Amino acid sequence: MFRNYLKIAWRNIWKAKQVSAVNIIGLAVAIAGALLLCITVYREFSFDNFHEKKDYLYQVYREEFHADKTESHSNMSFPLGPVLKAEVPGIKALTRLANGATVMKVGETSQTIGLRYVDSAFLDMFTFPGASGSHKLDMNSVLISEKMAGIFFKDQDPVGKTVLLRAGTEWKSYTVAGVLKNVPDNSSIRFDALARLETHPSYLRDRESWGNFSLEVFVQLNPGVSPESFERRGKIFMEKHYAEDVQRMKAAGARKDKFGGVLHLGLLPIREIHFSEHSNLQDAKKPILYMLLFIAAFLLFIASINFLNLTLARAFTRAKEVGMRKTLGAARSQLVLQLCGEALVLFVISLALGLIITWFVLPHYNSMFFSKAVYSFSILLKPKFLLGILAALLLISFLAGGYPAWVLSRTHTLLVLKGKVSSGKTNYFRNTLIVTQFVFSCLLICGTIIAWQQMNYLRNRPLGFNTHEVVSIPVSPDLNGHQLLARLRAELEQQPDILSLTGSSNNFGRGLDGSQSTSIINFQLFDKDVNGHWQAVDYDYVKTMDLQLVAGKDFDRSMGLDSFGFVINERMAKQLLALGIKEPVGYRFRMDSEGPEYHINGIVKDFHFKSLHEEIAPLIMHLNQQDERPLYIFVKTKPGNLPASMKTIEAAFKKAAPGQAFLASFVNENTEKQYKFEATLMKIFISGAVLTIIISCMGLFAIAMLAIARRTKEIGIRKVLGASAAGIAGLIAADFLKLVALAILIATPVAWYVMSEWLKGYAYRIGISWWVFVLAGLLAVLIAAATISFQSIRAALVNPVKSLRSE
Amino acid sequence: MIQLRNISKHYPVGFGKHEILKNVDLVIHEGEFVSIMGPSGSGKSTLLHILGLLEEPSEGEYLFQGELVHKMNDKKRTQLHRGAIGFVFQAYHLIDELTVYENIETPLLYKNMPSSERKSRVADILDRFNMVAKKDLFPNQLSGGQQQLVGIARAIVAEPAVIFADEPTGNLHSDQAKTIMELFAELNKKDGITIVQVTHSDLNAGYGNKVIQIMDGRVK
Repeated sequence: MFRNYLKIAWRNIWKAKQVSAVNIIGLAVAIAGALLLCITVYREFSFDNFHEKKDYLYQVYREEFHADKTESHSNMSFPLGPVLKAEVPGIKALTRLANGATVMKVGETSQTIGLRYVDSAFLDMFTFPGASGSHKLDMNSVLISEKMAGIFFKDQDPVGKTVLLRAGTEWKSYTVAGVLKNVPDNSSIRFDALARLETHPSYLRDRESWGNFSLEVFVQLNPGVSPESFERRGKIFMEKHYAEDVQRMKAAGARKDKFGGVLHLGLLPIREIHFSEHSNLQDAKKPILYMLLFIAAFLLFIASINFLNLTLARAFTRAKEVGMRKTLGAARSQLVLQLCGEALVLFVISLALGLIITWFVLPHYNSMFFSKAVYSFSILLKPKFLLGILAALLLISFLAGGYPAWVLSRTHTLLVLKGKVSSGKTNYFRNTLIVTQFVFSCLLICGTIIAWQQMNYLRNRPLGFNTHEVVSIPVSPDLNGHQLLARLRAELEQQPDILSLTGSSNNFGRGLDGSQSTSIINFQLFDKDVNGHWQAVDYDYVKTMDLQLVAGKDFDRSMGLDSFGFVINERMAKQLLALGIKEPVGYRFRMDSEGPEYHINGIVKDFHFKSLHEEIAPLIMHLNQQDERPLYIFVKTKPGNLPASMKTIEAAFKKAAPGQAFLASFVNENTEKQYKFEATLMKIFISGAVLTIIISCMGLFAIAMLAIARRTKEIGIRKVLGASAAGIAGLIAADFLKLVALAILIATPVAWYVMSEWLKGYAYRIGISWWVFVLAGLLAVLIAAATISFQSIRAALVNPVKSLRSE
Repeated sequence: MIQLRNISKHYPVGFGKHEILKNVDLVIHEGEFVSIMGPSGSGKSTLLHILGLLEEPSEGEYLFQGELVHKMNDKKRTQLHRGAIGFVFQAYHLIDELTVYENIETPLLYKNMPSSERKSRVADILDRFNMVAKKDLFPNQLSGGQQQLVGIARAIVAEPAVIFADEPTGNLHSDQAKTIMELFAELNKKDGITIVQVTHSDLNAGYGNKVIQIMDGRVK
C-alpha cells in the first residue's frame, strides 16, 4: 500500500515537471535560507550554555533610578565584591573580573594578549577545563590558553616556565601554572590568560576605593536562594556603602525601584549576559534574533503557500483519481494520508536540496556577515537541530499537504468523478495566499529602500571634521605615545605630502584595533551638575582634524604646556551660557574646591565625535599630560595621492617604532565601521527581499500556468469570437495584477509604520518620502507582470482549434 | 438482494423542487443481469448512483443485502465499496498514473489483502482477459476498448456481488462494445455476479435477462 502511494507520488511529481520543479526549488531555497538563519540564531542562544553551574551563576549589575532616566552599569568597584560576599547571605562563591589587555613576552616573542585578573573562585564557578598543569591560580602564577601556549612555547611544555607581563610601565614576571583549553567560541567571558586580581596594576591604589567602577563581579548563589532575595538585600547594601550618592540622588528627585531604593543591585543570569543591556559583555540584541527567526519562519511560510496553492490548483486534475479511489473503497483517512505522503516526498526532496544549498552557501554566508567562520555545518547535525528540522518537516507536510487532501476527500464522490470540484471558495483562499505573499514582498522592498536611504544618509552626512585625508594610527599599549608622536613629528614634518600631526586619547569610529572608549566628567558649577565628554588631545588637534574654531583659539605651543586650558564644543558652551556665563572663552573655574583653576581657550563648532546614533554631546578637550599618553595618532595628508601618503607614514612609523604592527586606517574607514550593524541589517533585508520575491514569483508563475490551463476552453472560445491576443493576455494578467495591487495597498501603511519606528533609533535620520512606496509598488507590479506575461502570452497565441479540440 | 421501496429523488430549484425519481419500487435478485433503459434525463443514471451508494435518495427505503442503506455509516458503506460493489464507468476512470497491473491491484490494496494473494489474483484476471502483455502499460497507451477491459477487470478483481455499469460501451465502437457485453454476460453466467447496467442500446439490453424502462423518473 505504502509503496503504491510512493509510486504514485513519484509519477505525479514527474508528470507535472514544471510545477514540481517550482515547488521543489522554491522550497529548497526557502529551507536553505531558513537553515542559515536558524544556525545564526542557535549560536547566539547557545552563549554561555556550557557552564556546568549555569543555573546558579549571575553577573551583578547596578541601576540608578534618576528623576528623568534610569542608568544601568555592570562595572563595580574593587571592594564591593568581597564585602558583598561577607554581608549578603546566600552567596556560595564570588569572583571579580578585571580586563587588562597587555603585552606578554617570552624570550623574543612578544604580543598583545587579553589578560583577565580574577579571584581564586573564578575557575570553580565557571567551566573552563584545564589541558595540562595545575588548575589553581597562585599569587605569582598565570594560566594561559592552549592557543597562547602554541604561540609562545611552540612544542615545549609551558608549565613551570616564566613569562613577562607588562604592568603599566614595567615588566612583571609570572610562572605558568597550567594551560587551559581555549575559551569556547560562544563564551561571553573571553581571555588568553588569567592572573590573580591582587596583581592588577591598580589593585593597591583602588583596593579600598568605592567610587572607582572598573571591574565586573560574578556570583554563584547557593541552591534554593532566589535572585530576588539577593536583590532585596542589595538595596540595604547599597544604602550602606553608597549613602552619599543615595542622598544626593534623593535630593535631586530620584525615583524608587520595586524594592524602594534609588540604587538597585541586580543579578543577571549568566545565560542573559550575552543579550542584556545591563552588562558590558552584551554582544547581541534579542529583537534582531527574533527578527531573523521571523524571517526564517516567513520564508518557509511563503514557500508552503506556494505548495498549498499549487496542490490545490492541481487538485482539479487529481480529482478524478480521488473520486475513483473512493468508489474502490478508499476511506477518507487513507486518501488524506496518501496526499500528505505525496507532500512529504516533495518536502524530503526539497530538504535534501536545501541542505546541499546550505552546505555550499555557508562559507559565503560566513564571510558576508562576519569576519571569521563562526557558523559550521556541524551545528545542523546536533540532535536538537535534527529533531527541529524533522518536526518542521512533518508539520509543514501535514499542513500544506493535508489541507488540499482534506478539500479533495471532503468533496462528494460523484461531483469529483464528474470533475467538478467546488472552485469558488478555493479561489478566495488561493487569492488570499497570493496577496499575503506580495504584501510581504512589498514590505521587504520598502524596508530595503528606506534602510538603504538611511545608510546613505549616515555615510554622507558631514561629520564636522576631515574624514578623507586624515590617517588614524592606534598606539600599542607597550609604546609610549608621547615618544612615538615626537618621533613621527620629526620624521614627517619635512615631508611635502604631510600637513600636520596630532594625538588623542580617543579614536573616531572604530579603527583596526576595534576598540572604542568613552569617558564622561561630571562637576558642579553654581550648584548645578555640568557634564561633558572628557578627551585628551595633543597640539594641532583642531588643525589636523579640520575643526572650525568659533571663538578663542587652539592650544598653542608658545604658551608652554597649558595644563589647565580647555577647548570645548558649542554644546558645552551652550551649557555654560545657560548657567549665566556670558563669555565662555577665557572663563575660569574650578571643578572641585581643592582642584586647580581651569580656563577655556576656545570653542569649536560641533562635530560628530561619536556615531550618528547619538546626538552630539558636550565635549571638553584638554591637552595630553605627561602621564596621559596619546593612544591614537592622527596625520593629515595632502589630498591627491592618498596611497602614497600612507606609504610615507608607514615608512616613518617603521622607523619610529621598529617591530610594531602598523594598524593605520583613514578616518572615514573607521567611521563607516560604526555602521557595521546597519550594513549587516541591510544585507539581511536585501537577501530576505530577494528570496521572498523569487519564491513568491515562482508561486505566481506556476499558479498562472495552472489557471490558464483551466481556462483553455474559455480562451479558445474568446479567440474564435474575435478576441485579440493582446486582449486575452491582458485579461489573464489583470486577474493577478489586481491581487498585487491589493497587496501594495495593504503593505504601504504597515511598511510606513514599521520603518518609522526603526528610524526612531537614530538621532539623525531621513524622512520617509511617498515615492518610496510608489517605487516599491511599481517594482512589485513589474516583477509580477513579467512573471505572468510569459504564460499569458503563450496562452493567447495558441491556435483556438487546438484548445477547443482538447475539451 | 436489492430492494427499493418508494424511492424518490429531487433537488431544490428556486422555491420548488426538481423531481428526478418518483416513487420507484424495484427488486433485483441475485444473479440477475438487469438493464436500465430510458431517454436522456429520465433519471436512469441517478437511479444507478443510488443503487451504487454514491447518492442518497430523498425519500424511501433501500435495502442492500437485506440491510437498510440509509442507516449505514460511512465506514460500512466504504466496506461495501471494498467488497460487495464494483463499478464500471462510461469514461473508464482509470488512474492515469498507474499501470494496468497497478490499476487492477488498487481495490485489493484497500482490502488489505496480503501481497502474494494479490499477485495471484491480478495475474489470474490478466490471464483471463488476455492482457498479460499489456500489464505494464499506462492507460493512455491503450485503446478505448482495452481501457474498458481494464475497468471491468478492476471492478471484478475484488469479487463483488454486484457490478454497476454506467453506459459501459458508450464511448466504444460496435465491435468493442460487443466484446465488452459478451464479457458481462459471461461474468453473469459463469461467476454468478449480479449486473446492473444503464444503456441506450436495445442490442446491449439484449444481453441481460431483465429490462427496467424508466421515463420521467418513473419505472414503467
